[in-house]
Amino acid sequence: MLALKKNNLMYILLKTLKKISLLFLLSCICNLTYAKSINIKSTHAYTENTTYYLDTQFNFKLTEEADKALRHGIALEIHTDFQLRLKRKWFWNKTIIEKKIIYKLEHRPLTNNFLTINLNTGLRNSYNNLDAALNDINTVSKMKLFDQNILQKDKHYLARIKIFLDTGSLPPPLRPQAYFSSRWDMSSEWFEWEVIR
Amino acid sequence: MKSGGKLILVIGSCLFFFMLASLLMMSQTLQNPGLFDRYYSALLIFNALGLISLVGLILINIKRLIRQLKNHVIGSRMTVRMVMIFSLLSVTPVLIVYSFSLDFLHRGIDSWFDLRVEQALDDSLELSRLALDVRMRELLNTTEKVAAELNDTTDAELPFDIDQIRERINANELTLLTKKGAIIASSSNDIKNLVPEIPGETIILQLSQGNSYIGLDVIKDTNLLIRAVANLPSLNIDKKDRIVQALYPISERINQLAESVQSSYIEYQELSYLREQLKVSFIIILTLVLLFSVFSAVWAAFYSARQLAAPVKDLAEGTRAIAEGDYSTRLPIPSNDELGFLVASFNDMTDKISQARDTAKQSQHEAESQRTYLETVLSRLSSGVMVFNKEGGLEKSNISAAQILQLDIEIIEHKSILSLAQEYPNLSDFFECISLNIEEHLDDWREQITLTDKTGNQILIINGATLTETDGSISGHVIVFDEITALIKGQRDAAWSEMARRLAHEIKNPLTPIQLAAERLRHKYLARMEPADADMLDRMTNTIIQQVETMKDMVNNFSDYARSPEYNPEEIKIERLIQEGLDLFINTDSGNIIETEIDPNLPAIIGEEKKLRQVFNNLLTNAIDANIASGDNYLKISAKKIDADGKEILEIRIMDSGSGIDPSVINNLFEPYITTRQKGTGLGLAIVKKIIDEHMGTVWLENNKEQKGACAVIRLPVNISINTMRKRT
Repeated sequence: MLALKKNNLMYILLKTLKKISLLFLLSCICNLTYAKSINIKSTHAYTENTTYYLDTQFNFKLTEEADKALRHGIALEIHTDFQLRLKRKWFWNKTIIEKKIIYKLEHRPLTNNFLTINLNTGLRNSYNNLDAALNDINTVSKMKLFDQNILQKDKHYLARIKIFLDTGSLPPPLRPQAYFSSRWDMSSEWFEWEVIR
Repeated sequence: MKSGGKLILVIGSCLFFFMLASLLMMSQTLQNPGLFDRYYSALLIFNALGLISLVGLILINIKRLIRQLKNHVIGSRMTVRMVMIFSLLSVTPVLIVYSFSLDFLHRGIDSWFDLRVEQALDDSLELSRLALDVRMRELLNTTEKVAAELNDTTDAELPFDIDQIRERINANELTLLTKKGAIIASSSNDIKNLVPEIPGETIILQLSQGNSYIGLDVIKDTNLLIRAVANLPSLNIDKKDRIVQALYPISERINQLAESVQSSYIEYQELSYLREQLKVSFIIILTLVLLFSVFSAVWAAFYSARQLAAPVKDLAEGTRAIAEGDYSTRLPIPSNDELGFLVASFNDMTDKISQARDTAKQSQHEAESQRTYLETVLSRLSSGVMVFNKEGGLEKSNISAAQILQLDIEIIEHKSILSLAQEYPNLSDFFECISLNIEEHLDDWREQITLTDKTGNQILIINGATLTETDGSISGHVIVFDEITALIKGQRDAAWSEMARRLAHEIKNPLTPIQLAAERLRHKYLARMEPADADMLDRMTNTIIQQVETMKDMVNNFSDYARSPEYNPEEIKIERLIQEGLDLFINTDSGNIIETEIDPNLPAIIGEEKKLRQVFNNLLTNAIDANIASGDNYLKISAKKIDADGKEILEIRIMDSGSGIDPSVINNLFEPYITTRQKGTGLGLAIVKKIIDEHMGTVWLENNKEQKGACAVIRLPVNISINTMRKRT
């Protein structure tokens, strides 16, 4: 009887509609209620021979849902974005330089290790626990940003950095849910500071 | 098709194909993520927008259709019906397929996952781990031995010994380093890679706790390697901090198998994790496909219904235009199918109707012209014309007919001949004559009748003919009649004038010698004869002379009647003439009681005073003679202005109290030599009639109704100019 009920067309339709509507509803509510738990622990920008470098320590953590997905073989792409922007009075700020570090985080069930792959350099690191792998991603050391000579003296510049999970890299079936659900919202706010030549 | 319709069709078609392509791409992405992976979200949004556009198109169509229904636009109901049929026909199978697809989808995805498969994968992974574990334990022992060996080696010997040890234990890399990560010595079989692999913090932490580490790692893009890290068992403080790490290769085959097992396991786990999401995604795509199909079908139904209804609408509007008399309507031929043929036939029909209408109009115009021409001719005819239908009803008559019969055309039209005879008793002879001849179905007949009324006799000559149709059947009768009273009177007057002229000429000539001879006889022999003879001669000659005088008077009268003296019309006060005539008779003391009733405001008339005076003298003489004959002496003269048929008329009545006039002769008394008096010449009334005719008036005699005696009635027109009167005479 139950099987028959479950196979019933109306039952399936209603269930699907219910899921979709709940998904939208939850995403709207959760986006408002969940506080941003991902932030930047420390940032240190410095110059060496006119080159601007950055050391940053993020506090990027996976949500329970993302952790579960990772352990089920879903690879996660974590982006670290840097932007140098020219401050303008009457217009939007103009992005002059944009840099990106992309990490791919995978779980290897055979060794029970977590693999981080720097997609910029191709460098792979294997960790036997998730925290170690995330620590690798969270640590940005001596990131070469730009030559200070490109900065003009009479202009104001703003640098900003953020870390986030790229939901667009998730498997397509997961994306609609990831776009709207706070369980997949793993993004820090932009950390911004002024750059003076 | 209008340009707007074409644009909508093109946009709709483009939208249809793009959405179809994007749906295929989305479906492909779910099954093979590598292909359109990055565009999945964009495709999803595009399809959602496409569906909204389709809904918008449908709503626009529905709104337009509702408006058309409200305005009772032709073809709107047909469009509704067709849209409903098309939509039902297309949506029903799609919904059935959708329901079955949902069911199959759930069953299909569920069938991917099997507990036995899952268990097998877990087991194979575990087996792989176990197989590697044995090897790893051996290698850990080896590494621990190497650690003990390196513990005994001095730092100076290390660079030389480490290579030998690495080669002996078949390790890819052997590194001696401190727990802080500082490399003391390292050996690698990869000469390109000079930087040795340093174990992670967790491994070092584990070693700090006194435990060795063994594990499978992926290091520097290579295949799986076994990493074995062990503490140096030295009590020496310098070497206490040291650890040794050995990286052992795994055979290619084991590597492949392990990777295969791992990737299958990952894939299965991924699918297992995405199970519900996959279902939702497939349902979303399926629902999108369903909505896309349904909306496309409904929109296509609207479009097709409009296209199909358009020629029918055109035809209906064209028919309405023709019904309203607009034959210039030309419908665009939609296609070469049956509808196109129908529209072409409609256009042909319109052309032919238009031509027929033009021909009919022309014919009607010609008929109208003919009718107008005929009416003009008929109205100008002095003859009266009447057309009766075969049932005897009066269809048509001209003005002359009405004038001759003194009837109103509009009143008598469409009346039957019998009702006309009953309605107008004075014309009964006329209508009965016509009726008799019509009943006898005479093709062509001719009759002369005399109508009698108070003003006199009216002689009509009537011609009749039968009107026939082309098939020979009788359609009516045409009657043409002329009043020949004036003609006959004229002929009679001419004859009388000629006779009077000749009589005057033939009689007057011998009268004077007779009179002279009688006077000479009397003069010569009267004095010489005996008194008895003289007396006789005197009487005889007096008789001759008196009779000659009488004959002379008679001849003069004849002469006057025959002569057409010069006519000099002038303005006359009629009451003065009447009074002069009355004065003459009052002075002669006839003993009559004369009553006058003359309107003091009588208008002047145009005429000849001398002649009119003669008229009054003649009529007053006749009246007084009639009174004398009957022994009565009442005489009444009246004069007043009356209105007859909108014209001002002066009516003079001279009424006596005599014995009246025999009705059989009352209408003939105005003819010459017809008289009821012993001593009358029979010319008095004839002269009166002649003079009144010359003055465009009428005169008749009638017997009094309330008292005995007769009355002479004269009617003279008032507003006639001198010129008109002169031309008339």
